[in-house]
Amino acid sequence: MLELAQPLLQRNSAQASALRQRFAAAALPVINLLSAPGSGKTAVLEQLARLWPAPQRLGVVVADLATDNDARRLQAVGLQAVQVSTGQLCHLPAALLAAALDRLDLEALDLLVIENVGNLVCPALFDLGETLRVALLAVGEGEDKPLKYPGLFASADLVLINKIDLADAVGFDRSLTYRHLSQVAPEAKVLEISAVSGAGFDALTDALSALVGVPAR
Amino acid sequence: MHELSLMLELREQAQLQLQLHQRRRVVAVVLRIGEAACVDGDALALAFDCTMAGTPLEGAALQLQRTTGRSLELAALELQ
Repeated sequence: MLELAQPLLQRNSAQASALRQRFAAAALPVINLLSAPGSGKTAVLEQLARLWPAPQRLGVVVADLATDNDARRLQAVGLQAVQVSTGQLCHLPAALLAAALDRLDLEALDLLVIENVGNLVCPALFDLGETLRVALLAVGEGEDKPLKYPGLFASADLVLINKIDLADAVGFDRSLTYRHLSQVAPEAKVLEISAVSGAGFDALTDALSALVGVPAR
Repeated sequence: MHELSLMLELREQAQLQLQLHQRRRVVAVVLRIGEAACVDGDALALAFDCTMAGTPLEGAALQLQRTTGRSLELAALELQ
């Protein structure tokens, strides 16, 4: 037997390190946006585009198994959005991200957001060379979501609770959710937002600005 | 879920070892899978069969060793 002990995600890790260097060389902060399907990733970015001083300098790589619907929506609000189809893959691997970046002019961007595949499980395992990892959770998904998907939430720098305008309608238990988040991700900053009403977006743009060093307003 | 991409990676690594050691076939593969790695053993076995068909790994015995944590490792290969 040939003893190897080689990580199977080795290549993704190496490619992620290369991406990290590429981003640093372009002085480009990068956000990896993760959530379940339907939590509102694209809607949050649409709202962000409305408030960002120069939306044409905000790049997005959108990963989905199928359709380019999300990239189209983001292009319509002035973002530099490109779509990646991951085919059967449930996550965006570093190699596919690297290929997608060739379709963007990184030097012309202030910030790049990776809108990852809607999935709370696999994407959390794949480093993409990001500066910041943001987990999005919508009210109504369940207060125990952080406990059920600890890998993802523990790896998040920022947790956004979206659809806060629906909190009463779904009987959202704020204190229970915060308690679960502090158990799993005690260091993460938590913000409540509504992509539809715009609630919480001043705080979000300020937080992004502080965390990635880009002037927000 | 991502068992497919893991098997594609395994295939690449195994084929590199075949080249390095000047062998023609892989007869056994030992993978070490962490319990928190969110990998399903059955799905992995199925993905293995699909991915290795028509390659020097076709028909190789796949052994899964369970461990703690999130590791996903090619532990060992038996080459022929």
